[in-house]
Amino acid sequence: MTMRDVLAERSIIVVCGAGGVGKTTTAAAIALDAARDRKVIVVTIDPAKRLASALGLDGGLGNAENKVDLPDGFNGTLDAAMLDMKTSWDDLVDRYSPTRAQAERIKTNRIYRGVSEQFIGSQGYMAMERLADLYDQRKYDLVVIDTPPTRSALDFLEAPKRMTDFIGGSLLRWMAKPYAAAGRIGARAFSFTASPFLRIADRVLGSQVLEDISALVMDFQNMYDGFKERAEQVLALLSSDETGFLVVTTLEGPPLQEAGFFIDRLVDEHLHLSGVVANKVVPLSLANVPADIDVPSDGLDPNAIEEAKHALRTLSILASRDARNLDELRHRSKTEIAQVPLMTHDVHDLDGLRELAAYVLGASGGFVAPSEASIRG
Amino acid sequence: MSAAVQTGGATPRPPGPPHHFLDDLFTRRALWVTGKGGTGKSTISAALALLASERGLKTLLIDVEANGDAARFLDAGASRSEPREARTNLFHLALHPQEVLDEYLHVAMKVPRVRRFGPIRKVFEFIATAAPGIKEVLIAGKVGFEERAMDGARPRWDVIVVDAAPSGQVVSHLRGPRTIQEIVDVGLIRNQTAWVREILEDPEKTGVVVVSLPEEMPVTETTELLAHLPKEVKTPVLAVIANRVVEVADDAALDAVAQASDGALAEAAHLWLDLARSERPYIEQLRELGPPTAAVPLIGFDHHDLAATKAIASALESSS
Repeated sequence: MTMRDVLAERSIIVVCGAGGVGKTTTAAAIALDAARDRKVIVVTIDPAKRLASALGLDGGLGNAENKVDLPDGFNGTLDAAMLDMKTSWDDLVDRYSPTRAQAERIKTNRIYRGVSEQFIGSQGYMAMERLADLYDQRKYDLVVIDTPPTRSALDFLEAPKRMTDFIGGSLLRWMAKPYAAAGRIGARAFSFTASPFLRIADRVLGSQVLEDISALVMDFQNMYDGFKERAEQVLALLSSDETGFLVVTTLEGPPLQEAGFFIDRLVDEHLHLSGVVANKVVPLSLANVPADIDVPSDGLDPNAIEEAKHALRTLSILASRDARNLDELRHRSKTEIAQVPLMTHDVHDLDGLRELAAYVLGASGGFVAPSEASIRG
Repeated sequence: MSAAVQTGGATPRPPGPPHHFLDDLFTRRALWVTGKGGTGKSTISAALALLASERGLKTLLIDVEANGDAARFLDAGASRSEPREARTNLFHLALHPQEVLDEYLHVAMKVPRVRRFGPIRKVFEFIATAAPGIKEVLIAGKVGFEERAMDGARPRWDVIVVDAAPSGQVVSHLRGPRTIQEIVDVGLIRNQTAWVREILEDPEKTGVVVVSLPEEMPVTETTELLAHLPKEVKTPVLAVIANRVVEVADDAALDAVAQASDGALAEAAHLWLDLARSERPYIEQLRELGPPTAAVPLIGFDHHDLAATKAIASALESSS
């Protein structure tokens, strides 16, 4: 069984991992491959410029979906979209606000404008919201979604719950009350002197900011049921057999550690770990090679010989590290690890994506070192 | 770059090699080290802090994201709340946002610490989450607080190295005080942020170091940060550090060695040459950005421990 077969069982693939490991490119590559015979959409967070333009995403499209021109022999379709935070928040407010007036009020609140860009985990929430939305449309056979480069790759799993906790917090309701009351009677007579907490908040922030916050909280309250229902849907969808998770990592310290935590977490939550991709793998044929090798020195630059030996020593240490970490990763995840070799060129067009897809999706059992020729691209 | 050398700390600076970019860096009181995720900003932060401490400067390494990487890279145990000594002259501190908030409430608001789990904290957690700039200003404020701290007649720290937020978010940290001043019309926090902004935006006191890799995405993000930063704050970018660089002195000579050898040596030499060739245009782009650049070579180490940090520090020292 290849990774391609494993992923073909799912209609949603969530690609996750630490920042800078190649999540976006991997997501694009598996989406392209699936477009051979399926209707596919890939939602990316922050693609590199040239990759974005290869997917037709460089025109400032907001959340709009773009149809990618596919090579010959591809009988499905591929749409690509970005996750634009501002548009996503506005869409959300429009969807869940009971009235248009309320939606407008929220969108012009200056605290909202800050929240919509900075609220913790909001990228994760929006990614999941978008996922549920695309799934509901039933327009696609497969949705591939890239996840935000959070420091903790786990954040987005909790994002829906955190969002409903945030909006539904009884504390917030209570906190917003004096302001709401004051607003209604049009005076500040009913002020916060009654509440020591708000007295402090008022001293720190000034009353205007508190009023903005309380107005926003009151408006958000009305959207709570919509949010809550949606969050439950998203969680159900993520736990269903429709969804598979693909963890992408490099084999060096911090990203690898994060991948390990993530794998454990998926298992704990009974989510489907479909596979693990190890990116930028140093050729394992260089692992554990003795440092000193005889070189025919006739007519060769002695400095260049030293340079070659230095290259071998350095790459050999890194290859040994990668080999050991691959082993650990396989034990920990109990799943096959698809290896993508360290490439000496960036993936920025459809050909590059197909090359990458061949490594990821063609992988099956066993630890086969990538062949020498393929490493150099 | 910035104007005349000013010794912010009380310790006389030992002379280093002339015009080394590190000399300029270490005249500042605080260095905010940033970079795209995965470029090695914690690594470079730890190495810079080590170098400063070895120059006899009393150094504090602040880990803004509290993930413990920086401490691990110095073979030190995790710190909580209080600076902890890792080596001679070198302390480190991991900032946990909740604790920074508690400290702020205690010091500035006189909220007793016993109530830290009570409703006040919950209210502030919400406000810190909802109101833009609050969380950022608390972090910036804590760095500023350490920068101003005195031990008797002399500053507590000669140099503070901040393992800061990734480049996508560092501007909002540096800009925190400005954001607060724009959004909060009155109130204590407005007054309290004025001095933080002064320190952060004083080019003699504070500077930014950007860590990058010779690859497309990191170079793009570095370029964007350098274009964006001056529009938001006055804090200067003091250096751009290209990390994990493969350099080859003479392509033809190394290629000849690769052709003449076989097995692992040939494979390594070919890969090395290909890496060096693919990286050069990106190194060139980083050099053209303006600030001084330094290159840290790709170093083979198995674990990122103190020995690895020392190797990187020594590469920074010999980079020009």
